[in-house]
Amino acid sequence: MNEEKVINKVKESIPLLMLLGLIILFALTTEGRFFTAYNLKVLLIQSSLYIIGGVGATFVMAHGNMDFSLGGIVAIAAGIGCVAGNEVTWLTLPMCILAGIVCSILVGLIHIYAKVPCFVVGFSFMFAGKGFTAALTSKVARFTPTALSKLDTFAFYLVMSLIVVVLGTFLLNYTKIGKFNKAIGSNMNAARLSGIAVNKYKLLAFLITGITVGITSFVNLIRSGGCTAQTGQSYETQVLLALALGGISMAGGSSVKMRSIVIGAILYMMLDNGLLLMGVSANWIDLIRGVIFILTVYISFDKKSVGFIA
Amino acid sequence: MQKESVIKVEHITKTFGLTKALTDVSLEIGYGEIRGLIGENGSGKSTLASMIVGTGHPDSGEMWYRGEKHNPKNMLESKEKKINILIQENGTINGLTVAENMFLGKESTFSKSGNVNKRRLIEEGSKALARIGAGHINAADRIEKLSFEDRKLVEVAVAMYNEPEVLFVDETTTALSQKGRELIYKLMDEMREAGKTIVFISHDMAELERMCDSISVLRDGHFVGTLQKEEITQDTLKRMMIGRELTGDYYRGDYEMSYQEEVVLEVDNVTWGETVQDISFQLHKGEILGLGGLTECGMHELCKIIFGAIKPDSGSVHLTDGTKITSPSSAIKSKIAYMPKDRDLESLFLATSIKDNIVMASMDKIKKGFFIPPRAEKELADEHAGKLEVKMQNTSQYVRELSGGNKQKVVVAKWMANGSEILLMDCPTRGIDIGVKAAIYRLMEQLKKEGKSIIMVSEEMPELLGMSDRIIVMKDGKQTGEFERSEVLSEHDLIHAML
Repeated sequence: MNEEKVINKVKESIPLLMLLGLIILFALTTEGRFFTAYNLKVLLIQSSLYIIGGVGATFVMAHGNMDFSLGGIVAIAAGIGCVAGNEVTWLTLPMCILAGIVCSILVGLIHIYAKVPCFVVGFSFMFAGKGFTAALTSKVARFTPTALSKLDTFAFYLVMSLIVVVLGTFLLNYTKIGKFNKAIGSNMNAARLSGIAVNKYKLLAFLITGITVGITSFVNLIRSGGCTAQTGQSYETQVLLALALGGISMAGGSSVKMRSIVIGAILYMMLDNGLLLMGVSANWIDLIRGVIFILTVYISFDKKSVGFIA
Repeated sequence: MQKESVIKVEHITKTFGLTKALTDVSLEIGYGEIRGLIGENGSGKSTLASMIVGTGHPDSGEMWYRGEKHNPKNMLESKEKKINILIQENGTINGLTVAENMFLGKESTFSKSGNVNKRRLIEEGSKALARIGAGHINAADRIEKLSFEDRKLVEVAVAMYNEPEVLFVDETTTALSQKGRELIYKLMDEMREAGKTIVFISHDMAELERMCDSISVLRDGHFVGTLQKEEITQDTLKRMMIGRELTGDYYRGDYEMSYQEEVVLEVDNVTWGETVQDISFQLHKGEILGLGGLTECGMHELCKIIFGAIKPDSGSVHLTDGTKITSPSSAIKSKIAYMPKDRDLESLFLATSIKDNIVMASMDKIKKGFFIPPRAEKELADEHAGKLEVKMQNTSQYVRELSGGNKQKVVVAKWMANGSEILLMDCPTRGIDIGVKAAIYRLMEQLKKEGKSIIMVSEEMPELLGMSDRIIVMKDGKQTGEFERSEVLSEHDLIHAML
């Protein structure tokens, strides 16, 4: 069993090792272009979008669901926040968050009480979001309130990410919300029979997702300058990929850790960024990203955590 | 080259991390023999079986099968060599029919050009089931329709279909009714007549005494000795297993029905479909109320209803102050605990630490606002794991690494940690050996003395008779008898009400 523990520890460190490995690789092969302050900042800013929303998605993943609604909700929240913000500037963030919460809770309610599989509900929001932003921007271009553009600084993205990650980590590891969602992912029956109000805590996970996705849409508005028909597209897929790259267990459960989204998002962005700087043709980047993805997940996925019988 | 022994193992050692599961174990088993294998939790009997069957590999030592070196890479290899094993837990897969489960992996023998001939699959399945005397099972049924026992019989049919030379029966009979056990005993006798070999692993000494030609005893990973039939007595076995004279009583030492007058829980006219029909009784403070009957009599479901996990069609469960129990959380708020029969599926978080398992129902007790202090968790877990003497490395260990008895101790620890006053225990000693069983009985007596109340659902009559102040018997959902603890109460009286 000692051997097994060592193997498990190695498996858990794979995403981090992969990250460090790539950093070294890119440092060596891009003649220093990778390590410029500018490049690293861009990298972290791009990752922050996925990290913030991913923190919320981690809670839903903990109880065993995959949330495909993220992109759609980013779109809807960005749209609403943008419109509200152009009336009253300071309303932007609160409205983004409120919209995020309402949408995400709706996803949760439909899934839990109408018993529709989560990923189906997610897809429908994905389309809803697309339609919403398309309609919103068809006649009028939607720009972020100008007063907010001064937030477009590295410090802003860094601080937002830090706040969300720190709060998220605390909730996940030291409160009932995190612990119970992980328990539900581990064994829903045992959770229920231990007195955990399963539906309530699943819904709370969606609430957290709603908050973080709302914040993400706000950050996105700052970053991109406005809301377009493309806002939020394929966001959920990228978040889920980042989570997987970060070594998270797809079935959820007690092994879910916040570091997965942080490492995974940076890893994901780094692949694009670094490979491009290396001079690799864009066509090959997708292929390489795919291969590295499969390798990382294969090595780090804890197959034993799935299922009841040990 | 030994011709007398069908299986021979020498100097087998197997270590899991810090745990030495087997140390220098050597033994031989002959043809046409039923060899019992007994030992406390952690003694290594299942580990030894898994070495021979191929689910694990020894760190050192050698094995021979029918005189030739035996090093199976996996279970499939030993199956091909005609070594089969029956296990304790569920081995069939939901979502498939009985026949599909039986021939999983062998579909190619039933198919022409890729299409499986379902009719032949069902025919062969029915034949295999009839051959072992389980013809009442329909091979075309979805497996979820079957009871735990019938599902186990399907596994037996699969094993016998392979026409094994050596059959390991690893604690398979514990969860079965008398009917199921007799079926397996009959197969074992038949195999022995035909010169085949059975290795019978069990905690039930009466069963081993009846069926075995000889019994080998393991203790803490070491081989202690083999007793031939004439030498077998329960006392000798117990002594070899535990290494010291088993002092004191096993069940309760007294024969008096004793409980306080105060009623703590009332079950009023509870009905749930046909499974539970109009059941009413009261539980008193300091009482151990036994609930018995055949497996399908409805007692397991009744237990869930009392805990609020199943909503009855009519009737109610409530405390004497009127508080109704309507859900597991309301039950827990009323200090009721529930230990389900199937602990892996319903009690434990296997891929999670012992600590997290123990504190899972105590969060409100140790929290400070929203924050749940890790130190409080560790202290609470260490305290209760220590009190129950859970055999582990530390509380960070994953529960899936523990033996059955220690897993059950973790379950008990969980409900001790949150200060439960009323405990609903469904088959609390299922699949657990003497040492841990005795510990749980002592614990129950201790709780009773402290004024806590216990409802114990059990399929083992000696346990019901040995531990209960009162016994309520159920049959087909109905209450068919109530018995008071007394020296003259016998299994016969209970059986009469169960059938």
